[in-house]
Amino acid sequence: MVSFNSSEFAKFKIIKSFNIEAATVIQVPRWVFRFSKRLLGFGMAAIYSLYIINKSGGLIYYKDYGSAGRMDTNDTLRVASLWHSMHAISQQLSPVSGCSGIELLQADTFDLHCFQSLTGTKFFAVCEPGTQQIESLLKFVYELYTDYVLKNPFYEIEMPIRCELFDIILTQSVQKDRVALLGQ
Amino acid sequence: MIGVGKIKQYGNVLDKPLNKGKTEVSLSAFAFLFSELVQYNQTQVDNIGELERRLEDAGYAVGARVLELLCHRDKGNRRETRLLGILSFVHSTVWKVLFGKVADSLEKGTEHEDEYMISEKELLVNKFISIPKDMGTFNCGAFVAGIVRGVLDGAGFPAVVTAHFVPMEGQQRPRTTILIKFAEEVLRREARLG
Repeated sequence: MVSFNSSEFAKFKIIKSFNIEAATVIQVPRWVFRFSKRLLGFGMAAIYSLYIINKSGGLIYYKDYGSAGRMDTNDTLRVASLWHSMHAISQQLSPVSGCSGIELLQADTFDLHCFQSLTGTKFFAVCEPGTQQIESLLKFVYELYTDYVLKNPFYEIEMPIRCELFDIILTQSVQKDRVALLGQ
Repeated sequence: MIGVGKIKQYGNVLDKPLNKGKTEVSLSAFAFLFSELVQYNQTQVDNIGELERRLEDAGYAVGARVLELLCHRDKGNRRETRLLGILSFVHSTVWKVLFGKVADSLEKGTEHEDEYMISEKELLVNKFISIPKDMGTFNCGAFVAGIVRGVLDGAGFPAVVTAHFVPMEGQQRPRTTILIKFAEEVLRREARLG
C-alpha cells in the first residue's frame, strides 16, 4: 500500500475540475431549511433536550440545547428508562384499544413529545410548554436516524449512537437559535 | 411489480440489447447493500489494511465489467489507449454511469509524473458513513478505488489506486481523493507514443 500524508496532495496540478467551490461539504437538503423556517414561524420554539431510546429502554442518544433543563448523565439515563416504562404502562392502561402509548406529556414547566417508530425505537424531546411542530421535528430526526445511523456499516444496532455525520447534520438543522440557518 | 408484463424476457443474457434502460437505482437500497458489504467483510478480516484490500477487490470486479460494457455501448468497441484519454474516460464517462455526475476534479502530480488523482467532495459511497475514530484513516472509498483500478487494469494501464481523506480548509468534512500511481511500463509506453 502506498501511504501519503495530506500535505503531499498540495503538489498536484488540476487537469479537469468541476464545481469546486467553497461551499459546505455536506449538502443539507433544501427542505431542511424550509422545515426550520416553518419551525420558527410558530413563535420561539425552545427545545430543551432530545433523546433516542432503543426498544429495550436504553438511552442511545442524548443531546441538550442550552442551559435550561440540563441534566447530568445519570439523570438522563433515568429519564430514558422511566419514560420507556411509562410508555409501556400507558399502552396497557389505555381505555381505548390499539393505543400506541403517550405522545405528549404536558407539565407546568415543560412539554414532552414522543414519537415511536415501527421498530420500537422512541424519539422524544423535552421543550418549552406550548412549543409546536415538535412531532414533525421528531419525524425529521427519525429520518436522519434511518439515513445516517442505520446505513452506517460501523453502527451496531441498539448501541449508543456515535456517528459524526448524524451529529453534524442534526446540529445544522436543529439549532436552538436558528439564526445561522435562517441566513441561508 | 409495475410494468412486469411489458418487459421482454430474454432467455440468454447475450440476446439482451445493450442500450441503457433505466439507469438509476434507489440510493437507500444501494446504501444498505454497501453497508452490508462492508459489515460482512469486516467479519472476515483481522486488520483494517485487509478490509481495505477486500473492498478494493470487490470494486475491481465492478470496474472490469464497467469498462467492458461502456467500451461496447458508448465507444463502438474501441477503448482508450492513451493515458490522458483513459483518465478522462474514468473521470467523466465511468463516473457519470456509476454516480450520475462527473468527478469534481482530475489532477496530475507535479512532483511525480506517474501520479494522478481524482477528487470528490462527497463520494456517493461515503454519503451516510461516519468512520469511527479508532479506525484511523480508513476510507470506504477503497471500493471506488478498486473500481478505478479495475477499469485501468482492464484497459492495459496497471496502477496502484488508493482512497484517502483529505481535509479541506474551512469545511467540517474532508473530501475523498482517489490516488492513482501508474506502473512504470505504462509511462514508458506513453513516452514512446509521444
